[in-house]
Amino acid sequence: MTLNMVVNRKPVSVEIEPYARLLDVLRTQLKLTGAKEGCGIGECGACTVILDGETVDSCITLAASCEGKSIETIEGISDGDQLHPVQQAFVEHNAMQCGFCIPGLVLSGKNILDKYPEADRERIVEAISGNLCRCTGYKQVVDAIEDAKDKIDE
Amino acid sequence: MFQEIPRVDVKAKLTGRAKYADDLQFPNMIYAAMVRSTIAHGDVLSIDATKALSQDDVLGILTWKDIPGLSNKGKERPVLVESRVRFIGDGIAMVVAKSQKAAREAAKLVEIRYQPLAAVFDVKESMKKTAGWIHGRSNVETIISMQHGHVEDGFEEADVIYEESVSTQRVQHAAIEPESAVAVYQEDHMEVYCPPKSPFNVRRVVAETLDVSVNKVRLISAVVGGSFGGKDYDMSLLASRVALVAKRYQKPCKMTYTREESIMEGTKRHPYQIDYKIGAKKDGTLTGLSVQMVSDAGAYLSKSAMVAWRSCVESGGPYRIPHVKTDISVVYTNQIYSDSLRGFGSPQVDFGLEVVMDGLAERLQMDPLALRLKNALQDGDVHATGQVLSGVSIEKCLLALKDKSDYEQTRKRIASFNRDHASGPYRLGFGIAALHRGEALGAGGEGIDTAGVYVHIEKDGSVIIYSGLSEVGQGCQTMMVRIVSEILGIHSSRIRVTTLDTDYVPDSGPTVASRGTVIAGNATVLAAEELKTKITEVLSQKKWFKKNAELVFQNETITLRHNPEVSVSYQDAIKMVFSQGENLYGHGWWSAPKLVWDWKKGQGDAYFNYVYGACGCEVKVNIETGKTDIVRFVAVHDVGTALNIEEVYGQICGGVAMGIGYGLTEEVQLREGKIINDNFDTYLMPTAMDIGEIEPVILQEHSAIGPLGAKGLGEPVTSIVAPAITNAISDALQSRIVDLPADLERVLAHVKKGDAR
Ligand code: FES
Ligand code: FES
Repeated sequence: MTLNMVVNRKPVSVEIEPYARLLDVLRTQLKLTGAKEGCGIGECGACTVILDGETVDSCITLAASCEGKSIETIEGISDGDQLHPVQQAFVEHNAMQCGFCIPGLVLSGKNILDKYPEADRERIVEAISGNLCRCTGYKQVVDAIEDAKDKIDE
Repeated sequence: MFQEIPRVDVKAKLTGRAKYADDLQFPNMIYAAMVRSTIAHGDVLSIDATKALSQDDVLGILTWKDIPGLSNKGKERPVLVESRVRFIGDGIAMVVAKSQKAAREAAKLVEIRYQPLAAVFDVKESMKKTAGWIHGRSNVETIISMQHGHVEDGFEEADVIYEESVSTQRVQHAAIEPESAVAVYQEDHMEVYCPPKSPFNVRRVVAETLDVSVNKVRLISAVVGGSFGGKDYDMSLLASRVALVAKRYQKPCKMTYTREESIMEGTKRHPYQIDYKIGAKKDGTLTGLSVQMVSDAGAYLSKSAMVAWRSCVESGGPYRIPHVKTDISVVYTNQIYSDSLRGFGSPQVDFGLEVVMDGLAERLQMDPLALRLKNALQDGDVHATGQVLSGVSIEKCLLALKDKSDYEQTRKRIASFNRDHASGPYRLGFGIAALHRGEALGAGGEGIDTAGVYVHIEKDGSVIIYSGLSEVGQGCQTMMVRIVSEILGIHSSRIRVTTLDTDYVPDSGPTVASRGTVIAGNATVLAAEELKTKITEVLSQKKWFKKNAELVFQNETITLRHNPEVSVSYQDAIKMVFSQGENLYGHGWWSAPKLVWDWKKGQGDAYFNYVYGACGCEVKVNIETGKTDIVRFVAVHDVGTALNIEEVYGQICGGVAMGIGYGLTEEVQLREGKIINDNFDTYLMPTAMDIGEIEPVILQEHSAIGPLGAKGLGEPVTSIVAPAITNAISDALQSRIVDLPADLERVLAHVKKGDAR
């Protein structure tokens, strides 16, 4: 079947298997490998993408259910070499080590600030609690997202 | 002291452009999936692949018979078993298909018939003469001992003797990236892309499997999505497996494990059972310690003996104890096998002894911190290994902990909270723990602890670093950039670290034991110094250069020390060197100081240096649900000279988080050898909500041996988190927790015990 969606602000249409997972369509067919598979059951958040303004685990999202929807992946939030303020804050706070969980964490961070520009620490912690990170201990990640708050204009 | 430089790999990782193994695509790539043993012990009688082979897109099946070289090596886990399986998960065959999905589906259809053998799952059972043998004719692989003084004399001198049995559980790395590897067949060699912790070991095992010399295997590191001690021998096997398929079909082959497979096959931390007996004078002076340990190695040897040796050496903690006797038995069982995991034998003994120190303090009616301070090792003291110590900073760590945790006030506040809220559901508690930890591999290491690094300056003044040590997320590359930039006095933006490629760097051993900082760091120093010498030689031919003049490399300029007026820019200096027909490559090779261990006496110079740390943890325990919240975790670590403060912070926070999992929730649960919690819904690791307020306290006691004075950090941090937490819970409940993890059930059991007191 044909699936039409908007990915990173560009319309795409791809031929998919009816039961294809969104994660596989993104990674294999659209070559957007920024979303990772860590568990495959919706527990780690490494496969996080933003679907019509909400973060979802793309490993448990049927691609077919995304017909007509808009998807943002990690590849779409920076502008060439210009990092998104959340990404920039991750740099400044050294909020990463191996990096495998980072696309998911950045998207969760961006999304919560998009929804609640004034989000406090507690809300940020809650927003990223579905993203497992084995390396950083989260502290610098939360610091970074909190810091990015003041740097997002628009 | 140093300029802060961002991690070198930061942008690629933040934009999703960093390529991990599973992100790699090659034309005509085929896929493999494992068929694994479903029984814990037995012999494979037959493999029936008829159904699997009849599926669409399936190309074939490979077994050990397809291995040209070694399939089984002594007591190590085989690439594919010949017939004997020893745990549930042992690799039997590989199904090859045009897609990953087809390969995985077909692998499920392969039918294996077994002749089962008696399996043994319990270490104490396994040690009995009647247990089924797993390797050879005893399930006890080895007993390692340390003997210092005469422990019986120590107990005789004691006023108080305290005995306790503790146990630690089996946990896993659970790096968020599951194992993945790609092999690309080339005419005259095999190219392997994977996230390796020990790239040269992976290369060697692949060569042995394919029966080719090591120069016929080229390993190019993919970005590593976390190691923590994993992606070591397991990666050697995975790489060998894909290489076999790639060779057979002459096509690129990828295999990525599912999370369930990663858990089923990924190595685990050794579970320990430890019996302690400790003696002390009334004033708290320690007189003797006996430590009797049994380590569950699981089904294969791996690095179990090395892990046990470290446990043995560190079993006396950072304390002055005149008489110590430690023995550790390494025992096989038909469980998933144990191997290196962040901490490598330290967390078990640190947990045990720190729990025992609290128990002893209670018996002596002494404050736990005071007891530790009283016995803290000092410069010139004799360690339990017989080694005379220098650069000891444990007392400084403990005093910093006292200060930063506001120790006395905290204890008072907690006591009054518990008094005032006696009828409520919450209890507060505070606990501490201290550690010393040997740096790098030590005398029990396999072979010599060495590393090689090349640093090249290009004609435009830019710099490339080639290193043989893996970047597993610990910031090793950033550290090397920092060192080169400091020594040559140039901006870090000039420097790039290449992707690890075994074709271009010397074998630098494994990324273990937090040795990256010391070993690779020192090699980098040597390489950069060589460059400095080469530049100096050329500049010394200049007129303005007086004989024996000293040059200062700083701020992209090279200046005469005695006459700062005279200087030349770095850029011009490079030009001069090349215009003279000279080269600018530097090679650094560093090997650790020679160490000796007398295995018979159980004494020797175990490590060239120890690092020290102390932690304090405040918990809030809900006595109705058994849930423990970490309120605050103060982690004091002496890191030597901090090469990058933010990096050190990150290592401490991450290490503490991992330790919280070890202390509270993580445990690989097995039933008859089968792992029952095989994904992240049931294997519970800390999320952002579970870590409380982590407060890293960084002490910088210059190291005499580390590069620019730095010390290794990755592992010490994790090692003393669990005991600080359980000591805090014990304080809250007035009942001593001596087993890990302190999960809901265990805490509730202690709520009852505490009430009974
Ligand atoms: S891979 Fe989707 S949540 Fe883990
Ligand atoms: S940075 Fe490694 S898992 Fe988060």
